[in-house]
Amino acid sequence: MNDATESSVGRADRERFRFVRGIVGRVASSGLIDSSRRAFALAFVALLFLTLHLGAVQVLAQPVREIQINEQTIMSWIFNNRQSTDRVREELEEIIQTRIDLIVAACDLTPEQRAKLELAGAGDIHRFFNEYESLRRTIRIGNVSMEEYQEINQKVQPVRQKYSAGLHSRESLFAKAVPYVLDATQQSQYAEFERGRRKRQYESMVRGTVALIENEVPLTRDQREKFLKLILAEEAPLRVDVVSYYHVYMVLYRISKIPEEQLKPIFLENEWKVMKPLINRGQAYRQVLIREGLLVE
Amino acid sequence: MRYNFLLFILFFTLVMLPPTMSLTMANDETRVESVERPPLERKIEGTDLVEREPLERKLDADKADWNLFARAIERMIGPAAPARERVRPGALLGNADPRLQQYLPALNRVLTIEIHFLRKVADPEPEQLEKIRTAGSAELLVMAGELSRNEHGAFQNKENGARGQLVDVLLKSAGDVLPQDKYERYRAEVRQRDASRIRGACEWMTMHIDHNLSFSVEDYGKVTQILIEQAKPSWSSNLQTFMYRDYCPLPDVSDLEPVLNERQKKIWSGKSRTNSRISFGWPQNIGLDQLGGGVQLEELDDYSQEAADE
Repeated sequence: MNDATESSVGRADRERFRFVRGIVGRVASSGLIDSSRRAFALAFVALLFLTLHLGAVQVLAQPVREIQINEQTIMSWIFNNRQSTDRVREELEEIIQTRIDLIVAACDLTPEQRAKLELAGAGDIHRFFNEYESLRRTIRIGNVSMEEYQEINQKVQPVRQKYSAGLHSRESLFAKAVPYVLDATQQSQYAEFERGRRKRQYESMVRGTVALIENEVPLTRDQREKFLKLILAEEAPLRVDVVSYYHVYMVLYRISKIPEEQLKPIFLENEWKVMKPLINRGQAYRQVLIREGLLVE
Repeated sequence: MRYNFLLFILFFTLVMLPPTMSLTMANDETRVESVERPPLERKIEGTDLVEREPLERKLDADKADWNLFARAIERMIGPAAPARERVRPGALLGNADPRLQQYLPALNRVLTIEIHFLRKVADPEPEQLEKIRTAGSAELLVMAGELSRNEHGAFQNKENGARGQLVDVLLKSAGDVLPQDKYERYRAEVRQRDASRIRGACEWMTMHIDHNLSFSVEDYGKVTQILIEQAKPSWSSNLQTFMYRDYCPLPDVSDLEPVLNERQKKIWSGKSRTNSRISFGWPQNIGLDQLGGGVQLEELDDYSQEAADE
C-alpha cells in the first residue's frame, strides 16, 4: 500500500490500515507462520479487509427510503381517508344541524335562535378549515425523507385529533354560544336534557369497563348488579362527550372515589386483591385524564 | 511466542466473527420467510413411540382420566392409539413442546380465572373439580398449539374467541360431572357474563355512533338495543377493539334504519367504517393484560360459603 493510495482514504481508514498492518507484522515476526506461507496470510488478511470495507461502502450506499406526499395524502390523514374537503365540510355542517336538532328536542327554538346557533357552528367549521389550510401550507409536497415524514406526522396529529373529536366540544364557539342564545327557561330545560344524555353515555362507559374488568375478575349476576348500581349511583362526570379510549381509566378513577367499605363487600377476598390495584390505576391516570379533557376538577 | 499466537487468535476472531454472524442471521431470516415451520402435529406424530412412552411412564394412574386428554390430543393430531395408562395434567403440560411452553403460563392464568368462576358459582366436589380442571388443562395444550402456529391470527375464526373456546370445554366437562342443579347454575352464569360482555361492546359502539349523530336518551337506548339484537358472538372476544373509534366494528345505515332521521342517515352513510380485525397481541386476544392491575387472581381454598350464598 503506497502513500498515494493511503492519502486517498479517510483518516479512519488510515487508522484501520495501521492496526491491520501492525497485527500482520506481529504475526509475521512471531515465527508462527513461516516465510513460505506469509504471502498467503497477508493476501488472506488483505482480502478480509477489502470485504469488510466493501460491505461498509455498500451499507452507506443504500438508497434513503422516501415517502411521497401529495394533497390527497394530507387530506386522507386528517379526514380519515376522505378524498374531498367539500364533502367533509358538508358533513360537518350536517353534524352541527343534528346538534341543533337535539337542542330543539329539549326546548323549542325561534328561527332567530336557530340562525345564531348555525352561525356559531359555521364559525367553528371556518376556524377548523383555516387551521387545516395553514397546516397544509407548511407541508412540502413531493418525496420526503423518513425524518421529515415523522415531523409532518407530528404536525398533522393535533388537527386530525380535532376532526376526530368533533368540532362541537365545550371549547367550540357553538357550545359557548348556547347559553347566550337560550333564555333562562330554555337553558334549564336543555341542561336537564343534557344531564340525561350524560348519564346514559356514562352508563355505556361503565358497562363496557365492567365487562373489561371481568376478564380478570369474572362476576356473578348478583355481584355485577351490585357493582354497576354502586358506580352508576354517582353523578355522571361532566366530560363524557370526549370519546377517547381513556374513558376506561375515567371509570376506574370514578370507582376509586367510592368508599372502600361500600366496594369491598361485593367481592371475594381473592377478587378484592386483584380489584384494589386495578381501581388504583384510575388514580394514577388522574393527570392524564385532566390533560385529555376527560376530567374537570 | 504464546502472546503473539493469542494475539493472532484474537485478531482472527474479531475480523471473522461479525461477517460470519451476519451471514448466519441473514440465512435464518431467509429460512423463516421461505420455509414454513413444521407443524407441531407432525413432530408429535413423527416421534410417537419415542415421545409417548416416557410421558406415559410419568403419569399418575389415580388422578385423572386419559379420555379427557385423548379428546384434546385427537383434535390436534387425529385419533390416538389406545391408551394404556392414565395421565396427569401437570405431567402433560410439563412435557409440552418447548414452542408451546411460552404460551402456557398466560393460558394457565386464564384457566385459573375460569376455574375460580366455576368454583364460586357451583362449588364442585374435589374429584369433580379435578376432572373439569383436567379437561381445561388439555384444552390449554390445544390453544397453545394454535398460538404456536399463528400467534396473532389464532382464534380469529372462533366466533367467541379464545376464552370462549376454553369455557365451552369447561361447560361440557361440567355437564358430564356436575349434578344437574350445579351445572345449570354455572351455565346460566356463563350466559349472563357473555350477555354482559356483548352489552358492554354494544354500549361502546353506541357511544361512538352518538358522537357523530347526537341521539336523544330514548334513541340512544333504541340504537343499543338494535345492536344487541344484531350482535355477533365475536364481538365479545376482544373488548379492547371497541375502545377505539378507528377499530371498532360499526353498523351500516341499514342496520340503524328504524332510529335514524334523514340527516343522521346522510352523515352515517358517509362515515368510514372498518371491517378488518386488529390484533393488540396474543395476550390481549386471550383476554389478558387489558387493564393490568399487576396482581393475578389466585383460587381460594374454600368456596363453599360463596356458592351457598348464590
